[in-house]
Amino acid sequence: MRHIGRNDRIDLGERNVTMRRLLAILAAMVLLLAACGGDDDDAEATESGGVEATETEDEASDETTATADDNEAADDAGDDAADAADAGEIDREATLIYATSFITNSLDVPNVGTDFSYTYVNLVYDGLTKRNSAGEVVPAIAESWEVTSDTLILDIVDGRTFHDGTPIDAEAVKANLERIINCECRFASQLAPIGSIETSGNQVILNLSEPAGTLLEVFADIAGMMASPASFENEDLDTNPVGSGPFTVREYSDGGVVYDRWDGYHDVENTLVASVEIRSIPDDNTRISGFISGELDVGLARLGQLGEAEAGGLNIIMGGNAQMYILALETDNEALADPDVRRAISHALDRDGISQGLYGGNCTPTVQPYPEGFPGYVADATVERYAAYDPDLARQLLADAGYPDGFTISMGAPAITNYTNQLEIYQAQLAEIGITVEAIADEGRTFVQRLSEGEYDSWLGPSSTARPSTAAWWHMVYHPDGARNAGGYELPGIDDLLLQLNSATTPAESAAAIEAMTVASLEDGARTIIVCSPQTVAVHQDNVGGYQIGLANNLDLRTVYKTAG
Amino acid sequence: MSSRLLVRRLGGSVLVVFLASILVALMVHLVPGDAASAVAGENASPEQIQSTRERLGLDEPIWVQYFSWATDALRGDFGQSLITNRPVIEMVRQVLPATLSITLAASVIAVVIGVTLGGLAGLRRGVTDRVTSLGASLGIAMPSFWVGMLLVTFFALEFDLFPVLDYTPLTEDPVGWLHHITLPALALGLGMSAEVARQTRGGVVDVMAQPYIRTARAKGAPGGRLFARHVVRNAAIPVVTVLGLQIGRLLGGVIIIEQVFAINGLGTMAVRAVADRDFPVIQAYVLLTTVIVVAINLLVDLSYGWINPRVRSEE
Amino acid sequence: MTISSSTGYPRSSSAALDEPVLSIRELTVDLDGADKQPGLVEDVSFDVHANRTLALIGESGCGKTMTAMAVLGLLPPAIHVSGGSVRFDGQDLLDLRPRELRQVRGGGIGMIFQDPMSSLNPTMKVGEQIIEARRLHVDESKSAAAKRAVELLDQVGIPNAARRADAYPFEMSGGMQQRVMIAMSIACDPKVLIADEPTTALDVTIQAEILDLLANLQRDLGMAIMLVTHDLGVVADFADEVAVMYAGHLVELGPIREVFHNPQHPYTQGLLDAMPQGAVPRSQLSIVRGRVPLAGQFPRGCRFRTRCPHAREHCERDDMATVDVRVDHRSRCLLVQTGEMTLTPRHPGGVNGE
Repeated sequence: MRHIGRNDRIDLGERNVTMRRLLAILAAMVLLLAACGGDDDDAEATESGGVEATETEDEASDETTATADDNEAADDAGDDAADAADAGEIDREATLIYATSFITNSLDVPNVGTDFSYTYVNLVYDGLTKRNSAGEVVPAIAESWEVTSDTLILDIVDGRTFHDGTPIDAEAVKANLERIINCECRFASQLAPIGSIETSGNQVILNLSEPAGTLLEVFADIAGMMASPASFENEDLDTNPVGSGPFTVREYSDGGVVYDRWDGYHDVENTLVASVEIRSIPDDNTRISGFISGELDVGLARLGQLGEAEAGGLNIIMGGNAQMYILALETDNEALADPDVRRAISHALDRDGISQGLYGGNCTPTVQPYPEGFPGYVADATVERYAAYDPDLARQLLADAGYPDGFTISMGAPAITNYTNQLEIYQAQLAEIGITVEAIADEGRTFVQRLSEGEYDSWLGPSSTARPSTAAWWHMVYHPDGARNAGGYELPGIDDLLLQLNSATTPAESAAAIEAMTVASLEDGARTIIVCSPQTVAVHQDNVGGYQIGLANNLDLRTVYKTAG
Repeated sequence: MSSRLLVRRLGGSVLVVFLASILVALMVHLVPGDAASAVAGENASPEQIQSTRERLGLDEPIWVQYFSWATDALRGDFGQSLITNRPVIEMVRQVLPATLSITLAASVIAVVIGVTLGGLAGLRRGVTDRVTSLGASLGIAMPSFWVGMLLVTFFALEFDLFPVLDYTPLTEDPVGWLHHITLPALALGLGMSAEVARQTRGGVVDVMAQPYIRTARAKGAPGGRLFARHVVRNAAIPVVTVLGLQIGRLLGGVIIIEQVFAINGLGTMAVRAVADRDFPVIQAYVLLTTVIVVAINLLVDLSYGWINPRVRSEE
Repeated sequence: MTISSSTGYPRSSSAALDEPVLSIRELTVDLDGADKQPGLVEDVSFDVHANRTLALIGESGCGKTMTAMAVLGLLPPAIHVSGGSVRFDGQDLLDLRPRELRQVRGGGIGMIFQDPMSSLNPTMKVGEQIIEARRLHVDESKSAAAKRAVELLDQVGIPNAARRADAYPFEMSGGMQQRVMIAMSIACDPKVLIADEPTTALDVTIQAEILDLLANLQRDLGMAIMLVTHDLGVVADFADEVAVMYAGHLVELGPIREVFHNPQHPYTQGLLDAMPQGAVPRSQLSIVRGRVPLAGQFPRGCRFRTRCPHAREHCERDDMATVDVRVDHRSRCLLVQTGEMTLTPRHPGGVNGE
């Protein structure tokens, strides 16, 4: 993890802030005049996991957290903690102010609209499992489990209660899961493999219709969050949830949510702040100003705001995670059905150039969906091996495949500056090898709808590859029935590979399964071309510590603290 | 003030609000296609769509829909948010103070700056006039969010005089309240003050060319105060008119300012409601703003009679 | 038309020996700007005496209004005084600082204007406007001023003065409005009243009433009145002296009877001849040939020479002055001054040809 140390607030720095900001404002004026379309509001992703194509600019990176690799993770966390702890002792009575661009529409799981709500609900609920900073699934309310081919057995912890005193037990877990399965909401489909649920003592037995070990990953996300069954009938559950997490909700509004530490939490000693305020500030400029002026404690920033953040004397944390920029090809198009054509396209993209040009070098070129350090990362599946930037090779591949004069395809993108920039670049780079791209930019919801219906030959956008689970993502993009696979491409052996992943009983088995799928997809000319992985940028004040960017692309505030003075 | 005049104007206003309320109540039907499925979303099951339809009362006859909505609205019950299920009236109550504070403060700023500068320009002419007119043109052209960003850059970040975000209620902390609304109110009010300045200048120039000003000078009246006596009431009508017309611009502009300054106000609520197609909230917002605009314009209308006696007797 | 005092205004002939209350000497006013005209009013001199009325007459554009405005410094922006003096109360008004001049305005010298409707503030009650006139110069309480205002309204002949004080100008007729203007102008007992076409905008019957009123006030207050008008009929009835202006020059000045019976300037003669009263029915009216020159186009020398039936070459001379050609009777016509020409006296007392 790269950590940029803070700069002293010297006069020069402040003047740079002003100059930069003035330039930024002038630039904003010019942009406004030049192109009335600007960044969209948060549009919601209406599908679970997979491509959150309707995000605001780098919204995905808002929700990504990263550390370099799992070995360093703990060290870096320690470093970070050590770094901020320089300033003094941890202030357990502090209020932490976190800024994000998004407000959750609800704090009640069945009504939660998008995956971005994770940060909000994660403070109030404990899940059945959770992810550590390396992206691994570890116990939470389920303290251990057993995976078989047709069941998943969870052992529920003893002696804990929900905020309202209701005990956490197998019955409560069953009630929660059944509520979600029957909720006719987006999370229901994530629990589809569950046929029926039984309880026995403090065990919950999930009878599966097919192997589904990756449900454990799903349980680490929003669908696995446990609420008190006694609260299910409450009318105000959207704004007054009853979970068993370290915080309770004090107040909800369109501007954000305020939480207070719950003294009955089983690990309350490690809940290091007395109160958390999550503020929804959609305007990028306003948000970074709020950090520079000291009114906000911690939050995410855009890659493009790095300079401003530095000049403003903010502490910056950067890291990669399971968040990718992809270019998806629909194989019902004759040309794109040919693996060599797909390889050619991948070779035509100058990943380094794109990273440098659009992201200041902060989008790590890659061809695989998981970052280094994440289970399933294939060490020798490198860009050089599968997709080295080589327009000549690409042209050759096309010619050999029977397209010496290229062809024309349509390419869709969300109408957000970040992605229309990518659209332009891909269009230009494909033109180099003779492929004419008809570029289409559509508003968020429209974009998702059109790509689901296969109206684009190809499309680009951000993709969260580990949420709600790895298997869900692979199914979505590589299974003929997948929700992001309108062209119906079938990865050779996809059913067996998914079975392998869902049957894995150890992390090593999961990793091996993912690796196998990764290699298989690359060997067949990946139809979901991974271009690069954008770094997540977080900024924080001097007296804030413990903030980690986790590899699985979920934002966790539970470890953050403030020091006194 | 003639009471007939009052009754007539009041009646007109009530009629406008009533007509607007019809549009508002039935706004859901403006959605192309089936309103219920549009609101329920693309992933909704048929049962969800039906329950949405029932929630919105779409299967009742139109006049029943309006009647029930209107009677509820008169009691202050605007239903619940489709997204969060919170009572709409609660949501509005939570965010209204912030928006009202900023809007009122912006109006005050606009009037003070606009009338002063416009008045000086109209009285003094010459360099003052040219500079003020140029400034007014710039002020009208500058978008409020841009002004807001400039203000933040200089006064909040560079000089650390004001906070960047947020709102503090007056009842909690009067000093903090003033501190927080200053920059947003300035950003919003400066543009309006430019328009006010223009109108004031025009009105003053007109009045200064009138014979009764010459009479006043012939009586020995000095420039300052006594001219204020003669000029103000006669020049007031176009100025008051433009103030009333600007209220619409203010209500629109405050939405943007709330975004720029991260203030949880009426505008933020409205933007979210529109993005989420949260009809009950949208309806409440539209009705509320309609009432505000109509009320302000009614006041402006009534003020004419107070300002200019000729208008009174014409009724 | 008679020039006798058939209306019975008493005139004190001894006033001629008094010191003038207002003394204008060689007043010159220039017009700047696009239609630049130096000498818009040039070298004008006359006096106004207490208890007497001097009428300043001439056609539109002759500069009479500019002369009147120049006295109190009320000229429009593009016009300014470039020479001469206006002596009042021992001071030259042209030299005064603004604050001092303001004390004279409405104080020692009152002024009324042509169109009373637009010369009164439409949003101020009539009584308040008079109160304002009072309190600008007299240190008295509002209630004392209010009382005085009602008295003034009464004095100028407004019935129901107390109630009318609360009225707005638009609630009154033209004649009443002019009375209010007059009340305002005399509120502080001025020594001089300048009246710029006070009856032009009014009905003929109202005209007579207003003139009556002015005459009465003059008698009661002893004020000097400078009456600016283009209406010879008004002059005949009302004025003691008349000053005739043409294109910025004072062409003739003298007692009313003298001037009317024995005009000493071709222009004055032309004006008098052109009056339709008493003309033979169905005969051609006599006119003064030509038109008044526009500012910026005044001829050199005698500005009337382009229309004068008697004009000679040397009428172009630049160095003319207005000098006495008879007792107390001045003319600017060079030919009359040198005796080269004499004008026929008109019939005394008379309608032409009677």
